[in-house]
Amino acid sequence: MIEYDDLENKMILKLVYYGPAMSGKTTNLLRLHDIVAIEGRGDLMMLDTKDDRTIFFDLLPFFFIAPGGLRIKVKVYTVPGQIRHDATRKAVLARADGIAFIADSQLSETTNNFESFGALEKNLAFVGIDIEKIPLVIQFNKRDMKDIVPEDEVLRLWEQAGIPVIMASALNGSGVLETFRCLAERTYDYIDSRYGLKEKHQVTKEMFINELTGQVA
Amino acid sequence: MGHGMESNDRIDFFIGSELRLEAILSAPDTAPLLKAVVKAGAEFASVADEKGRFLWTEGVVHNPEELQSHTVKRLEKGILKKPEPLKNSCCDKATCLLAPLLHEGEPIGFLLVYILDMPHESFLSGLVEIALMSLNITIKNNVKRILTTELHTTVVNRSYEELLGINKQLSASERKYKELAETLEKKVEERTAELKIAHTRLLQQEKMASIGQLAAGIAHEINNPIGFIYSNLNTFRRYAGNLGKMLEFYRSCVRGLPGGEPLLKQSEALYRSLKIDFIMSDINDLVQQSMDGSERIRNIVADLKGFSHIDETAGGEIDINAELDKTISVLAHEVTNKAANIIKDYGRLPAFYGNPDLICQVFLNIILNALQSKDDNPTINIKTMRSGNAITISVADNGRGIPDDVQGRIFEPFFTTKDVGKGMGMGLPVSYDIITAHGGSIEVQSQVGKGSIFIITLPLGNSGQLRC
Repeated sequence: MIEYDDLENKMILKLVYYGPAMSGKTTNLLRLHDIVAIEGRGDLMMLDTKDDRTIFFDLLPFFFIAPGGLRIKVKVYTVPGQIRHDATRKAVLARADGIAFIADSQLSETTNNFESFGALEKNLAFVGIDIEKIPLVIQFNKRDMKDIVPEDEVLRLWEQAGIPVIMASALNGSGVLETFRCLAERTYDYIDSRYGLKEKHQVTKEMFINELTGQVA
Repeated sequence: MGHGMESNDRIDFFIGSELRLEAILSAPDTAPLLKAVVKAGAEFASVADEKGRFLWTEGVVHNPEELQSHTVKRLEKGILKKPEPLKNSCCDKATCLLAPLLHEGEPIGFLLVYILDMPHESFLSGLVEIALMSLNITIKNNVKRILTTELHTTVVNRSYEELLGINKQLSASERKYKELAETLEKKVEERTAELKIAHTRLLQQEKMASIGQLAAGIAHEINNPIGFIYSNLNTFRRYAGNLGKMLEFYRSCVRGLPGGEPLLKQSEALYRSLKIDFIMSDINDLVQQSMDGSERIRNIVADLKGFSHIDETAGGEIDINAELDKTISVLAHEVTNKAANIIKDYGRLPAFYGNPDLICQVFLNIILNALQSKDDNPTINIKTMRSGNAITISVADNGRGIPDDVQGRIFEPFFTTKDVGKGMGMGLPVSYDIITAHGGSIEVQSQVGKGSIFIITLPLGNSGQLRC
């Protein structure tokens, strides 16, 4: 968690879209920005890019005030996928409350997916986060492409670990909101137990999801 | 973005910390806009923080404190998401509009515009909208700049620190390896020198041993024939005496023989022509000389045998003076050839415990060097004495001396000033080793043209501590 201030009545959460280079993390946020057109959603901030590749990170913020007065900000980040930006990835991962791993469905990218996931485990450990506990969802993006890993194979491989897997085509917008909602739900469960979102601040899961997605879950 | 308080030292930086309006905007950012708003007709314009406190203002208002408190009170009541008229008691005719500045969807500050005379109804809202848009764009751009700059700086600094760390490690390991390499070279040199010395000592010992064996073998072979030569000579002298007596008897018989004049004449003539008188007296001399010669051969063989110490074990009690004498007799040929004058000045010495074979070798080397230090008639003073708990043996010659630049090198293996074939440069190094192994020391004092003196000191009472 970035910040939780009882006196200021403020909670700032961080969700991170992680994954190998070119798997569609920024595209996910772009589509999410388009789909969730609500008042509390801030502008998508895309920091400098080079040849359409993220070199810093992208940020899509959400802000709302709970009935109890708690001001909640959810900052959704992407990490730069290229290997050379590992230091930035660590800085983005630090204090994360939930992670969406965006994998590339193309057969040719299988190795990159595994390597990136391995790096995620390592980087999480580096910033002191337990991968077994942090809310995590996996999105297999680019389902619209040819030569992709079959869905049943993906599910067989990844769902064993008890991690929800969502098929998506971020370019077309399919699976984008589902991924975000799934991550938001898991994050709520994770936060609620520790900070008493419902008990103390009257923030129900429905409300939380609705504020972030603009729709009733 | 900011510096976290995590207990883990490694996580000193994370992305996502909150920024306040004052950190994002500055007076130069807001002043031109606020000025333009006032120029367009507003009396007063201000940018306030999230609580409504005026940060930057432009224009004049009758009672700014009251306007300030109205703003703060309005914000305490609840969130302001859209531009909204602010009730004020300053002036009934005036209109006041309060609009939120958004950062990440959250109002983090407010724009307040106060106007007395409105040209038309939507003038103020239009003006506020323009100003608001400009401020929001400035906020967005400034935030982008702040984030990228800070992240870039942090990443660069971290990389630089990592590089410094790596550089430090590399330097350290380089230094370590350099030291290792340097000491390694030195160690290898030391070990090589040790090995060389041990090897040459071994070689020399083997050489001496084989010389000794050879000498002992020859001595044994010579002893037997010398034995029977000597004893036969003795017998021969007796036989010769008997023969002489018998000859004298026959001569007197011939003289007294009646009518034997012609026979006497004939025999006396033969006696003279054969020089029997001379022979009879010379036989004795010849036999005596041969017997003396045999005696000398026997002595030389005995010395050779003693010098080789072939029948002795490595350690034992040594009579230094006796060993010196033995060495000198082995070198007798050289002494005679050079017509050397050897002056012995032996003191009373206790027995020294050591390896007689090796000690003799040292004496041989040093006395031989002394003999060779002068072409003719060298005088060599050999002195032994007990001084305290040690024995000193000095060998002084009156030869050509050792030049200063060479003195330091004479104990180096294979260093020699002798002509090729005359010496291999092993004598003194081996001597040095032997004396050192016995716990003693060997020193040299020399003056060019006057001579050299070698002083050997051997400690007493180190029995059993022989280190060779």
